[in-house]
Amino acid sequence: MNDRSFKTEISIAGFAVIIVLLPLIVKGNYFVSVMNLVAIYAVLAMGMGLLMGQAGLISLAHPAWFGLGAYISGILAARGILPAWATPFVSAVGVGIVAYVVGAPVLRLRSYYLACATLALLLITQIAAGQLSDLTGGHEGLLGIPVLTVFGFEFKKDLHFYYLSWALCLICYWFLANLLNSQVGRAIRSFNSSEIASASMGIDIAKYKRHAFVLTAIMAGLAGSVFCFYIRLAIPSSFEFPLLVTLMMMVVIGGIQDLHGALIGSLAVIWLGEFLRNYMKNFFTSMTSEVEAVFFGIIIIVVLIFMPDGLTGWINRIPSWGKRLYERKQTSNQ
Amino acid sequence: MSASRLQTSNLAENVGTQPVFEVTGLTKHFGGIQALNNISFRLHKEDITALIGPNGAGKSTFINVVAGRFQPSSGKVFFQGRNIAGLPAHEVAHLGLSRTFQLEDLFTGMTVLENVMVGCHVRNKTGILSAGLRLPSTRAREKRIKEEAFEILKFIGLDDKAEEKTTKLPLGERKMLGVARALAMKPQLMMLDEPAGGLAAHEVAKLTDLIHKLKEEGMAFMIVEHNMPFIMAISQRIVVLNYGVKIAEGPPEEIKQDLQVIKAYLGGSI
Repeated sequence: MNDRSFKTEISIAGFAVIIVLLPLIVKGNYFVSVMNLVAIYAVLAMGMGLLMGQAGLISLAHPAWFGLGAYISGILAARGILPAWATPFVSAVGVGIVAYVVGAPVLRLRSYYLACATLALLLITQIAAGQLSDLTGGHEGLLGIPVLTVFGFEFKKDLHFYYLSWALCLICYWFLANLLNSQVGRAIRSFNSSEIASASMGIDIAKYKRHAFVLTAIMAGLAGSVFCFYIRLAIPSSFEFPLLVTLMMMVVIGGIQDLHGALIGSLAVIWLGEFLRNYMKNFFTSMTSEVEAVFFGIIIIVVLIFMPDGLTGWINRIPSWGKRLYERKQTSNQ
Repeated sequence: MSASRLQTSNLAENVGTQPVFEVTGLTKHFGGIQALNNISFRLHKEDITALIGPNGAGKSTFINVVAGRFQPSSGKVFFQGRNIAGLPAHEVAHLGLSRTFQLEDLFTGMTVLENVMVGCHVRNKTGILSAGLRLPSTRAREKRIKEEAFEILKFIGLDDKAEEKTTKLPLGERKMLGVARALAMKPQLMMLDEPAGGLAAHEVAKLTDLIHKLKEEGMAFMIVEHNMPFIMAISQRIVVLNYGVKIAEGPPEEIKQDLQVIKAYLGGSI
C-alpha cells in the first residue's frame, strides 16, 4: 500500500511537471484553452467514475453539481455580495450541503432507480436555472461575473486558468487516489462487490455512500466555480444533458476501474472532438457537426468493442503482452 | 442505533457460567413462511456450538437474523450483555460478532490482502479528510493495518497469495480467505456458515486446527454445517433445527442417538 501511494505521488508529480511545461512547448491559446476544458471535465469525470466504478452508484446528477457550483459563485460575485476569490469556498460548502440533504434520501435507492432519481435531480436543477431568471439570468445566462482576483493577481488569460484548472484537477486526483487507497476507499470498494459482506465487516454503507456522493459533488461544484470565472458566464446549457453524455463517454472510454481512467478519458474525448471538428471541415464542408457526431459514435463503438475496459484497461494489459512476447521468444530460442 | 433498543440482559447474569450469546424466542417469518419459530438457546465460550438441520431448516436465516441482515419478527438476541435483535449488520459487527458466508461473498476486484484489510475496518476509524490528505496518522494506521492483515494471512496460510485477485483462488482458499477476513475483525464470537462445504479432507483438517487454535485464544464459535464427521468431531454442543423449529440440543453423542433428529434427516417413520 505504501509503495502504491508512493507510485501515485511520483506519477502525479511527473504529470504536474508535464502540465507546467506543456504551454511553454506548445504555443498558442488554442491548445491552452482546450487543455483547460480537459482539466475541468476531468474533475467531473473523476467524481462520476469514482461513484460508478468504485462505489457502484449510478449518479447522473453530476452536471447539476457543476452547474450549482457555477451559479453560486457567479451570483455571489456578479452581485458583489462576496469578493470573487471567496466564492469558490462558499460554492463548495453550498453544493456539499445540498448534496448531503438530497443524497440522504436518494442514496437509499439502488442501481437504475438511483439513476432515475438523480437524472430527475439534474433536470430539476436545469429547469430551475432556466426559469428563475431574476436570480440566474435565465436561459441567456448570468452575465456580469467579475474577473477572478486573488491577492491582486487577476486571472484574465487562458493560461492563468490553465494552471488554476490543472491545479484543481491534480489536487482532486491526489485526494481521491489517497482516499481509494485507504480504509475509507476499501470500504467504498467493498460494498460495490457485496453489500451484505461489507455491512457484516462493520461498514456503515449508507454513511460511506453519502460521503462519496457529497465529496464528488463538492469537487464538481469547485470545477463549476472555476469554469464560471473562466468563461465569465453561468448558463444552463453548460450543464445540461449533453454534458452528462460527454462525462459518461469519458468515464467509459477512459476506463471505469481506475481513477486515472477519467483523466485519460477526458483527454481522449475532448481532443478527439477537437480533431474531428478541425479535420472534418476539410472533407465535409457543409455538414460538419452531424458528421462529427457520426464519427464520434463510430469511434466510441470501436473502442468499446476492442477495449471493453476502456483505454486504461488496454494500457494495463501492455506489460502482460510484452511478457508473453518475451516468453514466446525465449521458448523459440531454446 | 437508538439507546432504547439496547437493553441490558438480566437473563445472562442469572446462570453460573455466563453465555456469550443467547437467543430467546427468536422468530422470523417471511410473509406466510415461518423461517424461524421461537428459537431459544445459549452459547458458551467453552463449547464450540454447531447449528445443524436439513436443507431449508432455517440455519442461514438464523445467522442472517442475529447478524443484522434481516430484522427478527420477534424475540431477543443477547450479545455482550445487550439485546442486539434488530440492530443493523454494521453495528452488530462493531460489537464483536463476525460471520462468514456460505458463498464466501469476497470482495472481487480487490487483492487477497485488501480483503483482509477491509476486515480491520471495525477497529480502525479513518476520517474522509485525513484519508484524502494522507495525514501522518493515516499513513501510520495504513501501515499497521497492512501488517496486521498480512499476519492474519500468514496465520491462515495464504500469505503467499496476498497480492492475487480473489477470483484466482480455488474454492478451498476462498473459504479460508472468508474466515481470514472475519478474523481480522478480532471478534468475540464468530459464526461460520458452512465453512467446510466443498473442502477436501486435508483442508477440513486445517480448518479444524484453526478453529481449535482460535478457541484457545478465547474466541467463541457457532458453526452451521452439513459435513457431519466434521461437526461431530469439532463441536461440544449441537442445536438441531427442522422447519424453523429447534428439535434437539445437546452434546454430539446425545444428538447422534436422538430419534427426532434421525427422523428429520432421514424422513419417514422409524
